[in-house]
Amino acid sequence: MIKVGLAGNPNVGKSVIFNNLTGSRQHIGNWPGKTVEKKEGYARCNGDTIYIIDLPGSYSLTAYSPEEIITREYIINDKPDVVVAVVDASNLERNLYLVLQLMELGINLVVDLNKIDLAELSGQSIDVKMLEKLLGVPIVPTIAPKKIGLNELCEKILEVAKFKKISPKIKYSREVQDTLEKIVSILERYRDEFRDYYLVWLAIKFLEKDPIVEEIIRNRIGKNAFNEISIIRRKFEEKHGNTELYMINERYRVIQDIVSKVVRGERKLTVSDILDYAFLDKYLGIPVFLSILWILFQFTFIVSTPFIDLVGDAFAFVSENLEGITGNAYLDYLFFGDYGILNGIGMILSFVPLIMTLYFALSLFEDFGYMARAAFLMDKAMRKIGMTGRTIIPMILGFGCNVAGIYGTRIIPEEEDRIVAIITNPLMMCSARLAAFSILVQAFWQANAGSVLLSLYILGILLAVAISLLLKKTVFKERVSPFIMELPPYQFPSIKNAFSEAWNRGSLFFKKAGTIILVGLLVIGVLSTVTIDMRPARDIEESVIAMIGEAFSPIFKPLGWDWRLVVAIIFGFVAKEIVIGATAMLYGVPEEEFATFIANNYDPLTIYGYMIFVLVYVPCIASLAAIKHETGSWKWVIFTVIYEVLLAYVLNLLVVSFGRILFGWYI
Amino acid sequence: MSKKEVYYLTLSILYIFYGLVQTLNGLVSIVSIEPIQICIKLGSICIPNIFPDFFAGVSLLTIGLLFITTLYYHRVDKKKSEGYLLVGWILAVLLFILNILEIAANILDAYYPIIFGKEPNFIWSLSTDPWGFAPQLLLGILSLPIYSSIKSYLTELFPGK
Repeated sequence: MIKVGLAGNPNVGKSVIFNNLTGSRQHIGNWPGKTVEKKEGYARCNGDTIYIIDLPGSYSLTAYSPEEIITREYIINDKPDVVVAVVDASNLERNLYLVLQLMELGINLVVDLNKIDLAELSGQSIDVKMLEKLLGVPIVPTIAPKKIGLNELCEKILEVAKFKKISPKIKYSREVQDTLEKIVSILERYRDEFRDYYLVWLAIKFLEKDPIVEEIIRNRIGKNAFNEISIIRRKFEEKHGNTELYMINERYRVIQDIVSKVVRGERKLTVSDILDYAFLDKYLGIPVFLSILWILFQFTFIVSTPFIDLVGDAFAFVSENLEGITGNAYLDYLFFGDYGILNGIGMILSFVPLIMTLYFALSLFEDFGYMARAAFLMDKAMRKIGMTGRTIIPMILGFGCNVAGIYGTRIIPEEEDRIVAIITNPLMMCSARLAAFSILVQAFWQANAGSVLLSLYILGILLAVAISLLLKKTVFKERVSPFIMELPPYQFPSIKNAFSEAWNRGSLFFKKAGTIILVGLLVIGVLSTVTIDMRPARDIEESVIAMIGEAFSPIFKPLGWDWRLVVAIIFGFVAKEIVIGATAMLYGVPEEEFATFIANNYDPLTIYGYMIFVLVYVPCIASLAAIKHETGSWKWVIFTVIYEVLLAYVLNLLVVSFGRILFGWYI
Repeated sequence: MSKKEVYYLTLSILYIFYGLVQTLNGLVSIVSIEPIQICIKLGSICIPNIFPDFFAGVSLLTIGLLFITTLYYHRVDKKKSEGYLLVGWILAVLLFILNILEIAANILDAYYPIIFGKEPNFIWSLSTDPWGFAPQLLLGILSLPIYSSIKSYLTELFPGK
């Protein structure tokens, strides 16, 4: 089977090409040990099956970002038969930089000159034959959304994979060529040690002081040989200064020479330039951004609501009708009870419409080209508080659902910024917590209920900012991620792509989070229906969960809680929606009478502290599953759980203690 | 002033006015004050129904400001003016579509229990649905004629055209 790697800058239409070539025959996962998404699929072309891997979008092949390292390591280690470099024809100069770096790897390369229509619309034409001649690699012009040129691309891939060995031509300056040749001649002596590598590429990367390549060379050649090549590099450095910068300029010199020969016509104002007058307006840019976010937010949560309710009710309906079918009260409760397994599956499935709607909407805005502008607009302000501009989108989505917010962090390319955004997202007050709090605030603060709720929203945001700043100053302090911003041309979004993205995300969520939630529900279900000696409990007070509540209650005594509130917190670990229902059940009062009951038995300060605890402590099990999935590590899940529980406890204690000192007379 | 300029000015004023009222309604709802309604009453229906929602109001206000900027640049820089008009129109249409989707979602949310042989969650009607006659819907309809002025740019947004 022919193995093909799809490489290119972000926003060049790589995903559209991948989707159009592979159709439904694709799989999404993560690169081993990384949080970078891995997309692979199969295409049929003239009777042959082609395995295609969609490599992460990157601007170069240096060793700075995970995307760049993944791309080059895949090409070197997995040795695809052909690498297709997808190039945005309307931005040829910048895109050729990656093409040149791919050519340096000495691989079989095919250049897909995509968005050729946009180049023409901007008043430019590209001499494809001349470009092919100058680069020495086959070039196929395409318009991916209209599937124009994709058959030709497929045929060219087959042709190159089967019959052709590409010999790319890069004309670096005589001096660079000479230096590279000298290094290569020394590396040649150790040919067997470098079987997997193209020596010219090793020489270039060594010259650029690439730390990974330097280590590879150091470990495989003798000390003397390493000194020899280091001397060659030092001499070059003495003459030209920073070698990496010199090679960047050298590549751009080659590119400018090529572009001057193949691109005809002056670039005129496009619809993208015209739209950017308003989208990037100094004063109106931010209100436009807020309006778009609000539309996205509304679309996601309002449009998905009936489907969420429908799925939840459908499972509740089935549970109700199946109750009694086993003839055993214990099994009945375990499978069909309010917190039973079937309702648990319903709860997991009810998240799916939300995830799908969110990704459908996000994909539309991403495809349109707006997300890059949003990040650009917000970046300056967000950097000041230790976050990147792109963080604002998952933060806002987190107000609806933290799971959606955590998955929404995928739009943040820098791994460390993304991890910070992921682990602080659960501090955003999600709709589940809003539902639980609205009952409590109505019970205690009636007229000022809105203000109390708003104070919790603000507290969540302030805590997220504080934690981000702390992480940036401690855990990630040495890591400064360079910010490269590309503003892709606007285009009408692909509805098909949006549906495909929604479907993929929905099914991915169900598979990954579903298993963890089910296990969690099963554990809590069993614990709340059995006694310590594993006999069916007559009521919940006899159950293991009640014992756990009692065991933990001394810790929560200073906060003014009894064991029932502790147990409700444990239930809330499954989903925050459960907190109120569980508390009502534990007190043995109907949910509709719960507000009055709690107002008669607790003071406002204890309940305000309790709400702060619920806002801050462990995110629900679905959020934890999403954190595990998105960070690819239990380390961050454990970190999130620990810091949030500690923070929740300390904040609650502070509020209650100071509150009693300040408002003791009132309470 | 040309007819076009009068049209842009009228739209700007309406969007800014209803945007301000809705933003204000959103703010005062926090302290449980009754929202301000400036509308034509048809029985129990208020047209338009300016339900309290801070960000919905901000969105209307933003569109109004985009249209007023269109007018500001109209005689100075044609391309710039068209940029603001295009973005204003896109937002207006997005709000209009969102409004229709909201109504559809609310209808679905009210009546889906019928599938399980149960009573509807609530009885839906245009008068009880806050989005039934919302300014987003009515002003969206008023903005539709702008399409003829920006058609060529929209065509350009479709790849391959």
